[in-house]
Amino acid sequence: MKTTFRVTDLDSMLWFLKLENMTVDDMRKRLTHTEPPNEKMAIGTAWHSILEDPPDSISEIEKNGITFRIECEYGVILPQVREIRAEAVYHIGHDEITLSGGCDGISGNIITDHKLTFRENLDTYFESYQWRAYLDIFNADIFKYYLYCAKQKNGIVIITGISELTMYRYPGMKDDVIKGIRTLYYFVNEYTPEIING
Amino acid sequence: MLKIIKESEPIKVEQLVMVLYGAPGLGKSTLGFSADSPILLDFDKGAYRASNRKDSVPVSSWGDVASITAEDLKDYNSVVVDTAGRALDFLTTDIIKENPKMGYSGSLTLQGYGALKGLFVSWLKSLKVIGKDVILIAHSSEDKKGDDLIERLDVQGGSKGEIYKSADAMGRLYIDKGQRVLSFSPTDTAFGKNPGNIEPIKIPDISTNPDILSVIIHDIKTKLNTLTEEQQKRQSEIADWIAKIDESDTLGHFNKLVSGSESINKNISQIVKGAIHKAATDKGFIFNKGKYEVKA
Repeated sequence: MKTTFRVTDLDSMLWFLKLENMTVDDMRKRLTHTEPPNEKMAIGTAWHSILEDPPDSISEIEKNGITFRIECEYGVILPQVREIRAEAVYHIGHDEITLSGGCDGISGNIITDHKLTFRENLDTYFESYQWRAYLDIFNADIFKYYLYCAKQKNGIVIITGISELTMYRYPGMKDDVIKGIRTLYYFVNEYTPEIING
Repeated sequence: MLKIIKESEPIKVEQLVMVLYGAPGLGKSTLGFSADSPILLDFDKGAYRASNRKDSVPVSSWGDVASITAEDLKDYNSVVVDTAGRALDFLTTDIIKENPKMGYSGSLTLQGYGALKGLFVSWLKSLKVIGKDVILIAHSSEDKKGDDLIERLDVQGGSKGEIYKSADAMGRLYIDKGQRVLSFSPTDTAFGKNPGNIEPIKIPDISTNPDILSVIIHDIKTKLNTLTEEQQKRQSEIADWIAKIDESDTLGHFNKLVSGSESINKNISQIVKGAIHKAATDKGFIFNKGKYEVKA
């Protein structure tokens, strides 16, 4: 049996297990990508679009009808390659799972990811499968989060602070990724078998 | 203003910030004293317990450390902050004393937290600038999440994040089968940062290994600099491919790139394949059965 998961599915599974109020139906919507994007997701998408091909400096910029204003000083390194997808194959028993993900940027062995957040909680990044899975899929060593701390005022998204959180490949990381895939795979077999390719 | 910086020459890692955390009484201060020429800033008034005690400064207010100069530290290579949690408590008191509007009932306001983060991070940077490694010692606290017991830094709220961000390496000291172990790798129940990609280390008797942390920090710096060299090498290889991809605009070109990418260094193969795919699909081609073709 073969199937494909996205890296974001692993983190959805992580949150499903952590959050008491997240239901099987919520999880199904996420896995089948039928969950409509909310306002915060739309803002995040617009900000990512800007950083795909950014101007040399940004003080205020508009994208998808959303205005962003930067109220801090910071320099972000533009990665060598931006917005590329890759995948890797893992085996759970006799089944073949392809894990697919698109990273915001990569330079040599350093992956870059941009996160716009309205409430900075670093625990979520530490716990996330995202950096582990991307390091494994892209054979990279370092994963750098650029964190854009934002608030909304008078219809404008104001970025008040920018910082970095760097994570590193570690021994046993691949095993942790496989553990996440296995957990998700058992869930999918039980509750959303329709997304398995056959 | 957000400035977009083009890739520049990587910088050699000469100093780092390391966090050592664990339950009280496991010997974190003792381990801290085994760093390279250390001086311990004793916020916790516990340096006397360390079995290998070296130079230390008893700290009774943030002013005691804020006034330390490069000249004061010229004989030392490492600054051990014991503990980071207490240091932040002292800084909190200092901020409220300087500006009462930044405090409310003894705690910091949102603006006060902003000041705390800024001052603490710039203090750490100033120590690195004058060539010191910084070892931040922290007690751990245990939180229950579901059935799991989660081990975290015992540091006040928002400032914990600044320690996570500032740390180049973060290791947890714990007891396993009666043996003290230092592990930098994260687990399901504990955080970690492992830039040295090193396996858990059994901490030997400090009396016979008085420089154990110095050796560990040296190994991590060496590994970080190796990663920097590796990054330059990969960047150069990727740049060659990007140049070829940018010149491609026909099916023949892209399929030739696909064939060529099959035999390249596995460390960059996913990146190169991803870049080929992005460029080919942007030009309207689709990938089917191992090659690109015109979209029907």
